Amino acid sequence: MLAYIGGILIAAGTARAQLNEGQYYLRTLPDVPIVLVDGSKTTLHRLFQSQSVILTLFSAHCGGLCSAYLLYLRQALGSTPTGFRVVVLSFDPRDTLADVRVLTQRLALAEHPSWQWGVMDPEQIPRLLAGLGYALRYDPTRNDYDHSIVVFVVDRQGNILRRMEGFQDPALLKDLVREARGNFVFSYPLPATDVALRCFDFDKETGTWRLSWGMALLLLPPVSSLAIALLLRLLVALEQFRAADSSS
Amino acid sequence: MTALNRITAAWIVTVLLVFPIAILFGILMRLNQGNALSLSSLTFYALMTAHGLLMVGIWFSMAMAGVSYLLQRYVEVRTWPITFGYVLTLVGVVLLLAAIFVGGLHTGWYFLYPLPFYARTTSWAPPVFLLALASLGVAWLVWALGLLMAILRRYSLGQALAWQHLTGKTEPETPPFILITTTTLLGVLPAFVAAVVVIVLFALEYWGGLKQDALLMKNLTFIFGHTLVNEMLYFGIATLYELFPGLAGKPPYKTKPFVALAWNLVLVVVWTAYFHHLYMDFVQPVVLQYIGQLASWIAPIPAVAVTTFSVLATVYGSGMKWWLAPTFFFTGVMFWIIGGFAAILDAIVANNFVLHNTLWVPAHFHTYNLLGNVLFSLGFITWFVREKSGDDSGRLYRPVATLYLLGGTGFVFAFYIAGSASVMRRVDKYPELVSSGSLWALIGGLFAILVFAATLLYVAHAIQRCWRILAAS
Repeated sequence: MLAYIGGILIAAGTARAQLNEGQYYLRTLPDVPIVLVDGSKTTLHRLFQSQSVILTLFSAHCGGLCSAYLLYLRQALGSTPTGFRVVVLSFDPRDTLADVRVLTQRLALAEHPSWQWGVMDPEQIPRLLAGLGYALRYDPTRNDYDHSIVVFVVDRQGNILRRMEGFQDPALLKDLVREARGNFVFSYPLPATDVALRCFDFDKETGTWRLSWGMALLLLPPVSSLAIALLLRLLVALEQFRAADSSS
Repeated sequence: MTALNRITAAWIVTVLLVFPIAILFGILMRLNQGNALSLSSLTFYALMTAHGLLMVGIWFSMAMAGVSYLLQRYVEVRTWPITFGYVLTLVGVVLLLAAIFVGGLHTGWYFLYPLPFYARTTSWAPPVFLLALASLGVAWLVWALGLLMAILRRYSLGQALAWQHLTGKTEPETPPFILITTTTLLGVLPAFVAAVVVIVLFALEYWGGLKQDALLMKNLTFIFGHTLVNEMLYFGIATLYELFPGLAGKPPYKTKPFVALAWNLVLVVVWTAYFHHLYMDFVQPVVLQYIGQLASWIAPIPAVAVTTFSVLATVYGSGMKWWLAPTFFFTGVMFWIIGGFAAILDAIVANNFVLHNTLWVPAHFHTYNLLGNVLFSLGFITWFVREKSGDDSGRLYRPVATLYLLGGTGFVFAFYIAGSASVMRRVDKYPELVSSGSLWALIGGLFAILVFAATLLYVAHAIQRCWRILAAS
């Protein structure tokens, strides 16, 4: 337990110092042992081997957001996702397999093989949390944890591809799913008002866009070059006219 | 000793002094990627920025200097725009190196928005960098306008572009050198205009806080950078058209209708070929992606096909005496074909998604620059040195040609192999996922040392003789 608490403190410290999402990108997660809800033993990397995975963590004892967040995930990802799997692991050393089974039944996800639930040895939990940059703090007054609610996209080699914190627009979660399936996901800045010249104007209300003056600026270089060439020709003609005039 | 000789010799000395330093930067980068060195990331990216900008800057200038010198065969060339270009280029380079090595600027040579605002060590580096760019832009713009004006004093615009040859007329005759130089000068003007616009937009954000549109900035930056490096190559081709037949003991090339058509096509198409750098910018209008794909295919075919045919026909049955100058020109054309082919492969949309962020890209641009464009300019320099000093660099022929070509081939080969293994570009160290990149970087770095050795031999020889030209004046 001491090792667990020490590890949690290190993990929490690491997470606070490294808020930059980019620092976790392509980081390979530790291959920690897992006990699945059916009692079988495996390791984290074996869970990733056959398909990309959306990974999230929870506590069955959580009196806060865990259940709500898992319901949100179920709604957004579906109970029988295709092309990827959802791996849900407990970060709480108090959780037993029986606790997890009760939770899966309550969420109506117990019978869905695409959702894999598991617990870890308490000494292994900090290793995984540090690898994920998962923020966790035990609050003795509530006898509960303050923790991140976050999902990760992990590839078949156990590398983190993306992470997304909190309750986000389900459309963004669907992007995660597409990324987990190996599809290219577009990303773009939201329209801002303080941009000088944009290539496009985007209407947030209707979702339509149209070309803007910035794109017209791209015509300036070739057009001005032709104008410069013609101007030079005129200058030369003028020069020659003056020379002819002075010689006559 | 004419002023044109002096300024040409001054350009040669300056370019050849900077060239080995820029090569050394490249070697350090490859050895670092090969884990033989351990540079900080900041140092690596500063070297990458300096290497790219210096190489493009010096060889664009040298190509222009060669064309400026040869232009006197047809028109009266005034030296003040060239001298103005020389002085302002030096100012620009000094500012650039200060921004990079003192100011910690490390944007990469394309300085994509908003990277110039992220100089890590100082706040003055971005404005100094913009000033350096402005200095280089003004230098080359005035120089290019000076050359264009010189041509237009003798030829009308239509004649300079050989439009009369398009209809089969043979008079008035437009030499291929004038045609290619004119299309290249007209082609490079948009690059300078785009540079001005980019600098203004950067300045508006830096001093005025007015944010810019990243897509617009990327388009403008590539109109500048991509067009500049393409036109640089065409200046080299103009030099080749002018000198190569003479080196083979054959009469000068004539402008045939297909030659006129090819280079007029290049003039238009090269402006739009840069779109292939934005295939992955999904918000770019799709029609521009189609134009980019077509232009990328069309742009090199006329120029490469026509030039290659001309060069091979010239060499065939000529009894050419091979020394450094013709060897540089001939091998330059051959590697231009190889690099151009690799570029076209990358410019195909489907391939681009696999290749574009890999070392395939440095592979192809090093092929037609290090082994193409640079060789065209070295061919001119070797010819110039012989013209002025009578020394045909005979002693250097075997060691320089062997070391340079062997080293250069091995160097780009390492890039190609790593690129086809999906090793990413623009990183200082390779992650375990693409660890083969380190081995190929080390191999590439070792081959680059052969190029460096050849360059030192050649530079010592050429600078000595050009210095005599300067001292004599």
